[in-house]
Amino acid sequence: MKKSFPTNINGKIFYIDEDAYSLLQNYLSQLHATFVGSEGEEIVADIESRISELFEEKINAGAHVIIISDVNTIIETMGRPEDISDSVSPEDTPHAEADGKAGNGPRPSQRMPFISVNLPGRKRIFRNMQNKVFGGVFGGLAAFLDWDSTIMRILYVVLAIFTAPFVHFWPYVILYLLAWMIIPPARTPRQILEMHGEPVNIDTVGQTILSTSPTPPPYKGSSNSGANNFFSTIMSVFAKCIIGFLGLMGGLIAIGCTVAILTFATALISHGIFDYDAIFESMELLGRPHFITFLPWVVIVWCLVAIIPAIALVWTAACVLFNCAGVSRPVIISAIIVEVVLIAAGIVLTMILNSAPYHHLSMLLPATAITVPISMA
Amino acid sequence: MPINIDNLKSQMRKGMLEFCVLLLLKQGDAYASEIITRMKDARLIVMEGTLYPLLTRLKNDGLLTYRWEESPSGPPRKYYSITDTGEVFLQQLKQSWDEISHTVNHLLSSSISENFIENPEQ
Repeated sequence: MKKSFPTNINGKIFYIDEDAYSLLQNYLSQLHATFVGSEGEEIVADIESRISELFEEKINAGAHVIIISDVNTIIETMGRPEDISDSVSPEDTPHAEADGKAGNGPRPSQRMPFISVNLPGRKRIFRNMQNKVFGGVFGGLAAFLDWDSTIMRILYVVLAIFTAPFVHFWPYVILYLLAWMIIPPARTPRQILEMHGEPVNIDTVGQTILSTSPTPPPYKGSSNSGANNFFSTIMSVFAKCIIGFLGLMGGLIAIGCTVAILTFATALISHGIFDYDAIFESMELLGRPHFITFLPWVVIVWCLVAIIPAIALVWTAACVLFNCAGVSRPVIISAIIVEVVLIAAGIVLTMILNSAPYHHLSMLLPATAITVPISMA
Repeated sequence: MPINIDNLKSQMRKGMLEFCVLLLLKQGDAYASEIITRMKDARLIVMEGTLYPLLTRLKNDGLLTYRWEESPSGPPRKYYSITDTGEVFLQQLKQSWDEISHTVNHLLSSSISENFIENPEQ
């Protein structure tokens, strides 16, 4: 099954497959880049009308839709931009000579400046949709750095495991999730080529289109090596288990934090619904007004700090496991800003609390902020 | 750098392109597809795209002109025809061609080699 678009070429409507359409569009835009100025526009318009004629012949011969092989035939028939424009320069010499003999005035816009469309491939980072475990972040990074993606993944996990006792594994998860959200996926042939740093031209775009559609994914995997396929399936299942577990943890933390925020907020509004004095008393905090005024605020702020990544985790897990819609970039960016502001507020509040004479207790606050809500939940 | 035979062959054909297009149009007006078909039959062009810059250039130089004409099927077509300037131009090219072909034919007939060059002029 393929998408196809009704496309107007020189006043005629053709139904063109999606991949064929992008190849044709690429071809025409390269022609436009090669033939510039009003004269160039005329040339491209003529070529377009010829393409329209050739497609019409195809349709009259019984085709219903223009497919990619038709476009490839067209490109072979018409010639690649560099071939066509290449034939311009040698012709100029005899032409100019004859023109001198005929002596008919100045020739306007005679030379077509030739612009090379084979720009050296500029590499860009994309998420690799053809080589991915979760979001293709490492696949894309590996393509960008010309490394092996599996080695990069293993290194990352090893790094996370070895540094986890010092910095926890959260930063690694969050970093990955952020990269997933921020780095765009390589979807179009052009993006895939840019990801690998290959020049974008008709040759490569054509190849990419042919290699990314329509059958490869299931075919390649099974025919290449069963072991590889099996391994990637195991990896994928394992990875999904991990992300499911993380999502669950995130969910618990989010719920715990919500409960904590609600209770402490209630405590701020009205004393007495819940017997905080008892809790504080058990923590030997009663009778220190300064502390009690600030403690709920600090807890609330730190809970909010914890709740945002937790929700992000749950959402991501849900996206991976149940294919729900991703989050738009503005939402992510504003979430990050809010998170940073909250962390700053938390630090300031904790410092105020530390200025109280019981700072040995307040050192425990971040821990309290997590353990209290969890025990409550 | 060794001489590339394919390159040389295509250079010879390219030199003939304008001449042949003008000759074709002298026989009667034609639209781009007709010109392409006949040029391809004569194996003068391989890639159709080559012809369009050439037609546009000849037109901008005032050797050709075109008019829009309705076609029985589809959108209107560009019909190219040769101008008076084009006729003069063609005459000069023909003169030059006669000289070249005379020389070449003379050389060919005086040598023992068989005739392996296609003569585009019937």
